[in-house]
Amino acid sequence: MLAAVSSAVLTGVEGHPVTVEVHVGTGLPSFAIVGLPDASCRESRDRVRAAVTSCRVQWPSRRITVNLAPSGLRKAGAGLDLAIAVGILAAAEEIPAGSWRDTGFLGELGLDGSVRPVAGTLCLVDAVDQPAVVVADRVASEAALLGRHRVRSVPHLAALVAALRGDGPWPDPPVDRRADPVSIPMPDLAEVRGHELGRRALEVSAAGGHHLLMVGPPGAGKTLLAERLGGLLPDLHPSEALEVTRIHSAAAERDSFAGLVRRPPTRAPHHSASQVALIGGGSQHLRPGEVSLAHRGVLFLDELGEFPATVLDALRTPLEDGVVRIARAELRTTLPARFLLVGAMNPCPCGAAGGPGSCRCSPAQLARYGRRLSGPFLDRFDVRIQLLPPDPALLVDGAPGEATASVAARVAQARARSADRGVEANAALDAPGVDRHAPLDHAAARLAEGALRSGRLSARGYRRVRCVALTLADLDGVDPPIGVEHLAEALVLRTAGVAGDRSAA
Amino acid sequence: MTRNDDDQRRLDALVVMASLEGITPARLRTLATLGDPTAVVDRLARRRLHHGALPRGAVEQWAGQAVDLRRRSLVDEYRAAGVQVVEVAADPRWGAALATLEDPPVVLFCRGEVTALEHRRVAVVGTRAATAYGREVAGSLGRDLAGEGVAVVSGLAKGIDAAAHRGAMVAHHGDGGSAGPPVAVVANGLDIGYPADSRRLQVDIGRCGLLLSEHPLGRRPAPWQFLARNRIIAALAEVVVVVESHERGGALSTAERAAAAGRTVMAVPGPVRSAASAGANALLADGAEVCRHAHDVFVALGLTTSAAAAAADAAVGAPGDLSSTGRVVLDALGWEPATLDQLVLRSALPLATVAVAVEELLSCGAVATSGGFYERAAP
Ligand SMILES: [Zn+2]
Repeated sequence: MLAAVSSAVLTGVEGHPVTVEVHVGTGLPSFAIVGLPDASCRESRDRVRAAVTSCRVQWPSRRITVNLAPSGLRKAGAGLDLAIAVGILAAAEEIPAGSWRDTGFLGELGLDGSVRPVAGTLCLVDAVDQPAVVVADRVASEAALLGRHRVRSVPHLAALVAALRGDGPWPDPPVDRRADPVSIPMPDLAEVRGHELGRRALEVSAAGGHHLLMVGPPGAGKTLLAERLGGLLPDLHPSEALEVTRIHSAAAERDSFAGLVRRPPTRAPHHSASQVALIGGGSQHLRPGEVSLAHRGVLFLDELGEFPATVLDALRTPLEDGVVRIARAELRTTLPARFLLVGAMNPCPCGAAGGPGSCRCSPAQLARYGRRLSGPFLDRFDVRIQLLPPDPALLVDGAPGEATASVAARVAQARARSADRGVEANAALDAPGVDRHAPLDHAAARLAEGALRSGRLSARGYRRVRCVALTLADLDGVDPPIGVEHLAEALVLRTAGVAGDRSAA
Repeated sequence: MTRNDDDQRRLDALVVMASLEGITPARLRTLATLGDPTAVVDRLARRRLHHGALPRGAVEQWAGQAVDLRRRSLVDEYRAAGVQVVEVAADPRWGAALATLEDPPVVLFCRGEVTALEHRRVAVVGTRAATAYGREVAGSLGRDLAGEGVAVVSGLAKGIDAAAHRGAMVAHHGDGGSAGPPVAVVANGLDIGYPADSRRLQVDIGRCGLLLSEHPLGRRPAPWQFLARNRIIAALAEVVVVVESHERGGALSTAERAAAAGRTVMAVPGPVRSAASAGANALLADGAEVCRHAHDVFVALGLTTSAAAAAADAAVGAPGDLSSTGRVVLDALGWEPATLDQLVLRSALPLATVAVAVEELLSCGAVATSGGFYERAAP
């Protein structure tokens, strides 16, 4: 007998439909899986056999051939277990013909027959064309996010067999305590005292999508500020939320799925993390890295100078194109990775807390430190600020700062103005776009000319400064031309540097 | 054989000794005490030289090097490269200039005007990690001292040294003949441009002042060589002025050597909270003389100078035509580097207003910026 059961496998964040064809025929008892399964997928044989046996169903002692189609697609992982088991039971006529036809099956099997969730369930469900899917209990709500399928969840293969035979009802979906997630309190800008420049930099960065570099000694409040950038970004649109959730689903360890991602994520990987963990890839399972998990959110790289040069180099494609490209012999795919980059670092190895004159580093140390970050990489940061620990008096009795909610309202207003220009945020404006949308008034033009002539500003920097000035004007609700106040503020938001770096701002 | 040939061969031998790998000023002095240099090199080359103060392994290696080196006429090669070789003990002018040194260099390599030794000499030294304040004071000291015919001696390092040299160059270009020539003592071979930032300056000083080193051509800088260099600066100068120095900065070693040799040590006072002035302020607390401007140095040298020089050093004021917010922000800045946050806090003005004021101050030159810090500069 022959049966063909629908399922799907994951490549990066893409689900691909897979048909599991099972033939049970005469001949010496055997069990083979063909159709480009990888090692983990081939292990299905042992799991499926143990799981079926544990359901008190007779294992067909015949010649069993499982073909995974299309055969050109490499199949990794254990997510096809459930479909293979259903296919064998169907081909052996243990379950009624037709009971399984309109359904996709996604799940891994335990030796005891328990059905376990698969990473990337959301992406996999999306690849299922049938009107119904069967998944493990824990991912039922995730599978339902798309709203396209009748979602059924089973804790155990035996329960699935009973339901397909009509011996019992479909199990009730488990009560999902995460369905209405308690909103985790986000750090608020009101808690930040002092740091006028830092607060303004966050606001500009959020409003204009400008990458932000914070330079300062340990304890200057770089992390404090970076943690509050995500809170200023607008909610994700429903389509963006689904897109981001798919990435998080694909990267999820089994239990970490926490519902639809409605807010822009913030990721803060440590500099010791591997390149695969940061950028994505991996030899066994292709996994989204931190840059993809930060998609449509914030990627915070603390101690920027400590990240290996190869990792920073690998950030170039995502920073330019908003994606990570994976190209291998049998696999070519892209992972979304459009994020707001926030870098933080010490001005030099000794920290030089007091600015010029306080540094005790040797020239060789400084030169080595400056070489770690290339000029073109630093060029990505439109906003570069120098931070010092705020005056202790401010921490004790300074007034609380403006709250996240009211700053976020201005950010939303500024983003609306960018949208009128046809871009999501001003940072996406190209050179002609900046020239068209950010003309300078007379006084501002004179200021810019002075800065250019004195060498404080490079030609490339000049365009980016006008772009930031446009964002400042948007935040104040002022139409171009750019006035001297906004240009001056954009200039001071671009002054921090790193010791040993010779590129002009 | 003429007397000149003899001299030349003697100098050649000294350059051979100075060029040996791993040679130090002390080892070179030891070699020079072993007899006539030509004979010493000969014994070295024939492995007939033994001395307790010289490591056996080094002497072994030197034998081969001496064989190679003495085939060349090194003094001619140096002359072709524009470098003069001086045997210090044999030259009365240099002997006098370096008389206070217990450990004088055996040979000196120079490029430029040896007439610099006929001028009064003042060293202006300090930290590489200088503030705009320090660089500005060092620059005007260099300019005003040189303007009165004083040879300004320093070490060509980044920061204070370079600023002092540059100031002296300004005076030199300003009034042709009468200005004091700049003198730079470097810690590497004269053909090595170090530090890279000062390469241009190094060339200029070799052209219109005096460039000195006790190291042969090709020798790269090493940490111990900087300290050894400081002793030459201390000996050459009648007065050593420390402009800015950190708590244990290298400029303090120059000051110590100078004090030990009975030279006048002066220091420029700085803000008590500025790390870059900690060493200079400590010198003042220990009894160094106060240097506020070139006039203080002229007094220490016993020079009477034109009133104009003293007037030129009057305290730097704010430029005349600043906006009212520009003036407020300049006052908030004071004389220490400050971040924009500090300026906002001290001036109690909104960020955008401070930003405009800062840009005004930058464009009129009253303020300089580096790495996100703002510093007061001379207008
Ligand atoms: Zn440092």
